[in-house]
Amino acid sequence: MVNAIKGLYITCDIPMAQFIINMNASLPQSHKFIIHVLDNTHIFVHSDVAGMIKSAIATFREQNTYEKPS
Amino acid sequence: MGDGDKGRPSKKIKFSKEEEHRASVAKDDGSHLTEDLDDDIRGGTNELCFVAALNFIWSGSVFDLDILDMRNGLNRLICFFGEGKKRDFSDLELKPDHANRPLWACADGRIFLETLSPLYKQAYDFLIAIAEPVSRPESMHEYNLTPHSLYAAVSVGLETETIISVLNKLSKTKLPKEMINFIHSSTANYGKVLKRLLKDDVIGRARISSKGTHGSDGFTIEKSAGEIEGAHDELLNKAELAAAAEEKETHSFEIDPAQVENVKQRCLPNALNYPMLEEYDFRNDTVNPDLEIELKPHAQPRPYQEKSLSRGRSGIIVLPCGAGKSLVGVSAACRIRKSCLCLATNAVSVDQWAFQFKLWSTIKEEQICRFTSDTKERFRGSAGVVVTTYNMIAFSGKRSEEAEKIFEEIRNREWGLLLMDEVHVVPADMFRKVIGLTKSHCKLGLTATLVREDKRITDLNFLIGPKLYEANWLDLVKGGFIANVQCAEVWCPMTKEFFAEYLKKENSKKKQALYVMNPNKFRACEFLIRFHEQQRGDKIIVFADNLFALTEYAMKLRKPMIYGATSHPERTKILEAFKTSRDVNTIFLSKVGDNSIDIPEANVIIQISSHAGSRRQEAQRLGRILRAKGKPQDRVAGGKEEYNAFFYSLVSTDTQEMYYSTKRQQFLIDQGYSFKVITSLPPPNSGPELSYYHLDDQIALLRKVLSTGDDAIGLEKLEEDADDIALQKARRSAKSMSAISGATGVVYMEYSTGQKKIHGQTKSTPKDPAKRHRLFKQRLG
Repeated sequence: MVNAIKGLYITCDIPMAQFIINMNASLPQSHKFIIHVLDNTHIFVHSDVAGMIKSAIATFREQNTYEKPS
Repeated sequence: MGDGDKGRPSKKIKFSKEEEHRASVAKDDGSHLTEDLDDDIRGGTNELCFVAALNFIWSGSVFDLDILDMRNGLNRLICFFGEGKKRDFSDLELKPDHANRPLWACADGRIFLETLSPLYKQAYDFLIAIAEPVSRPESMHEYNLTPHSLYAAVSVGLETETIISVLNKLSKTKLPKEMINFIHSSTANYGKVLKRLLKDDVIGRARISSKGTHGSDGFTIEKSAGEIEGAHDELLNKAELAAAAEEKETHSFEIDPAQVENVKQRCLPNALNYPMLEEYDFRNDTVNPDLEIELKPHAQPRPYQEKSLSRGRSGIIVLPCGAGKSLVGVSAACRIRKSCLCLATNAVSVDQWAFQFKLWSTIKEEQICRFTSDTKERFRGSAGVVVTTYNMIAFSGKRSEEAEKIFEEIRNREWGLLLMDEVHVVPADMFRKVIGLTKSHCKLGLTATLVREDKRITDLNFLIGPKLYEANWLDLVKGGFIANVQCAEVWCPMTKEFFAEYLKKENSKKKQALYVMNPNKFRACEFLIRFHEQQRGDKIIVFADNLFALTEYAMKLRKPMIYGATSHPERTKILEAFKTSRDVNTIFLSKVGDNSIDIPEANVIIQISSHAGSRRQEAQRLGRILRAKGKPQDRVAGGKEEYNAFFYSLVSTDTQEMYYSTKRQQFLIDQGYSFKVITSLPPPNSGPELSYYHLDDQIALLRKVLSTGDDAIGLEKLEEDADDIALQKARRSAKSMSAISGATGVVYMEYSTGQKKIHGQTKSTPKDPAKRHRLFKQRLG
């Protein structure tokens, strides 16, 4: 019998894939969300973490962006 | 060069919350904009101007530029794309012929000038006289009205009413009430100074009351500006009542020289608000001996150089590197014709200044001397020029005997002109002492970058004087005085392994090393070097602050490098080879290359690592290639050499380097340069001909970076110039105790060798006599 898991398929570039993998590694065991890393740019994760990943990436990007104070 | 166009295809466009809403509204309703506004606001011959929301462009967002059509009125845009209420200017009344007028005046003192207007030239000259420039890109200038700038305007003779009426004539809207009041209040203080000044405690105490004074209130009244009564050996601080008129009466009182800085500070806008201007009447100064020097006939000052010098006034002149600051300094000295003390940052600079003095003026050998740790000369005669470093004067430790003698002479002499090179270093405490230790009538500061990362640049206003002149970089480029630079930011994505290591928490100290040693960045750098060397025959300088990276890159690419510890003869050899030889076309420089090493022949600068966010450093590095090269007719738009200088900044994406890089570029962006973004270097089809193509090489490099110690991986620290006796400075470094005591990496354990006898322990058991060796049997029985 085939076992099927419903999840979220993420396509991204290489650095962001590493970012997601790193984020996954820093969480405690019960919160880990990656089901399988397919290759350098594709990851399969649990379905309900989409929002969390997006906000984490947004925060990371903001740290690396300089806004001129007006 | 005017459109700050940064395309970021893969990134989200960053908006603040209000902007997002307004922006989406604006995008959809682009057509509505034209319908909403009245017909008389449109019209005129204004071209499409890519200017739009000024703050918005600087935050790097891509925007649909059709909407930003100037015909719709800029204030509409400002209210759309600004943040919050203070940008909403739609209640300002537009005059009916606003299209012919070039400037917008806002209530908070900011003025915006359109450069495409027919009245641009006159408005520009006027605004330079009354306001301070903030940002001057190609199409739209921003200025700020400050008390200092208004004071400077009034002191050259502009009256309050004139300023207000001219501003009104040039402004598209009715001048806001707040601005009119501001101008009135700032300029009213000029004139009624003396009595109010004396009432203030600080200044009252600083006054030296002279016995037997004439005139009421104990003031010394002089008939014309020329007569200086008596022979004063101290500095006089005069508060002038009339700007240029010489027949009017001048009231003055004398201030104790030691209190000069206090008095000046009291008069700043945050205290009494009577900004002081120090002016030196050198023509009528009979006390100080004259120095007979003049500019040589071949020294032709360029128009902006002449504009920046006037009347013997103290202040700061801001000119970009390569625009001829040395000539300005020498002209000032020749104009004042008194003894001059010239301060530079290091010994190399001192030599260069001495050379420039001899080159441009008729000064004789014995009238100029240098004072550094290696050279101690004295000039003969009553007046002369001394060139030295800030460190030599401000040094507080023990000096050698000869240095002490020369230093005393410098202190006791009354200098006509104090010329300060790279004056942006002066607010630092050590350098401030210089101003207190030397007596000079006129102080002139020269720099290219009047910015510091701390806020102390405002201290310069009372330490030296106001900004006398700030050059417009774009104008200088158009005039062919400095090179036309193409600035570009090359985005290098991090490789998978490097980025994984970058994200790990335990590598936080190595973050900088990791994003600098990114193999993709290495390949981009190598590609650029090859391209420029072979296809264009350019001379290239590569800058890197991080010493580890510098060494790695230079070794791998087999190019010469210069850093702090390189000896002087080796540096000279490398620089000579760079200037003259065909084979040496690229050199690697560390922080030492930022200031003063004069390399006029370089065309290309590649920056692979930089000191976090220092705008000054970015501008100074750009200055290395700003010297104009090539024939003037080739340098116009479309000519052969239109862009003959290139400035590349290699940045690893998705790392902190992006943040620092944008911060550093702010100064250059304000001067009008825009950074093009290049994302496809090296070209994807370039394979093994560039290094680090194979994964194993990359992993080996990664391992090397990770295994180097924390302190070796960091930024380079330079020693400053020192006097004979070495600086006994305490050096701080963050290390563990075991590292400082030398025990790093050593594992040891203690064990007893049995030599020590613990107290109370008896001798070991006596030996059995029968078992003794025969040799001892007899002896011990």
